[in-house]
Amino acid sequence: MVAELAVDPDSELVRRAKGGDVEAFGELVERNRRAVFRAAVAAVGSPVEADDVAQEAFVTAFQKLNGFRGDSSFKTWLLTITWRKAVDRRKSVTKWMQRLVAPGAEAKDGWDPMQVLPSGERSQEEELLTADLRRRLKPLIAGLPKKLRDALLLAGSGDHSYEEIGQLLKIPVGTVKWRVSEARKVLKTKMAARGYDDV
Amino acid sequence: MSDDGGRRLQDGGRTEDGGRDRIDLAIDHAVREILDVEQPAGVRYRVLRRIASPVASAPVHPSPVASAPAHSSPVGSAFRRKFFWLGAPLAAAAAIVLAVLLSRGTERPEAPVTVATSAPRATRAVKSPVTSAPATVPATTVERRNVVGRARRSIDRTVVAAATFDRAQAADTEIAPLNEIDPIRVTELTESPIAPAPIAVRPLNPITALQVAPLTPPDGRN
Repeated sequence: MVAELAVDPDSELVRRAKGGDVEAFGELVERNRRAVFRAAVAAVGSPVEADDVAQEAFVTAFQKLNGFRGDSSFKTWLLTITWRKAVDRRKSVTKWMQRLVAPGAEAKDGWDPMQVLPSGERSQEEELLTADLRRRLKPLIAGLPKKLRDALLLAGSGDHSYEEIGQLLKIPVGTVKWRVSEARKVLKTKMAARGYDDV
Repeated sequence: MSDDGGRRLQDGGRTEDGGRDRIDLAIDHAVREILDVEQPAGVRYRVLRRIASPVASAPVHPSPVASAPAHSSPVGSAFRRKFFWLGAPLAAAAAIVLAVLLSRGTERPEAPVTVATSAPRATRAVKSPVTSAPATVPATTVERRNVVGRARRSIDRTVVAAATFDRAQAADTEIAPLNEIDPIRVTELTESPIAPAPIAVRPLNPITALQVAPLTPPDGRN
């Protein structure tokens, strides 16, 4: 823990922000916004809602900053807040009503992969993979059980270590790894059922 | 998957020979595509704005276009919309209950109708002894004040007084006689003449004869 504090690049900014330096907190926002936003997208699926969640998470973090004792890194603490808010959002009545209004329009728990736009930047390796394969995988990912999907997406984002994911999801690291593996297994099984077992 | 040389996938999508299969790579790329969404610009500004003005607790959207896809409203977050949908029926139900309660509450003041009929009876009963015999002043004046002045609250007491009115007791009641009313003087009306002034009629001016010039021949016409 001490070592983590020593290397926490945000500690100085956190100290200043605790002293009321709003600009320092703005710098913390800038540094962590990408990870926060990605975690929110992983949970709620919609970029618009993820943006709302991210904002709420940052504001809450600022309000509770004096309660941050430094037991973990600022980023982990911030991501925990983000994840809690995102999961609350996912469970919200709005989602429930949307599902009532348009059943089948979204995944079972309201996670909507169709709102997620692909980025324009792809490596040459990525271009080699067929777009069809990815297009078919996205709805399957959206249809995964939440526990498996959360672990898969958080791990796949590249922003979080397994330890951080374990803290976010409040599960042991071993369980995180198992869920990621299980998610892949489920996806492969489903793809095989669709004729994509040509590995 | 097992068709291709008998390779079997292990956890994390690695095959026994250490390579990663195509679907594993595709999963990685699909996950990355799902998460690789550009956040609307100005996050820092919007967050700091919300922090600076805690009253505006709703998330700030960068622009209506970015924040309003077909299914969502830019007005507020889903959290707010949730409370709107919860709150609207509750507010409607509360309004109905309030209306019912108010209507019941307004029915109650109509009760004085029965009491109002009894009030004059009480005063009439009290008046009658005035002609026959004076009675004790304090009791009746109190009752009269109750009936005339504080209509609604004194109604019950007035009814009780009327119910327990006893002519024999009333005979002992002493009431000061009413003052005589001064005669009303009315001044007589006077009629004022309204005849209009005589109207003088003048003869009209003679009309001068009209002179009409003949029309010019239509030379220029076809």
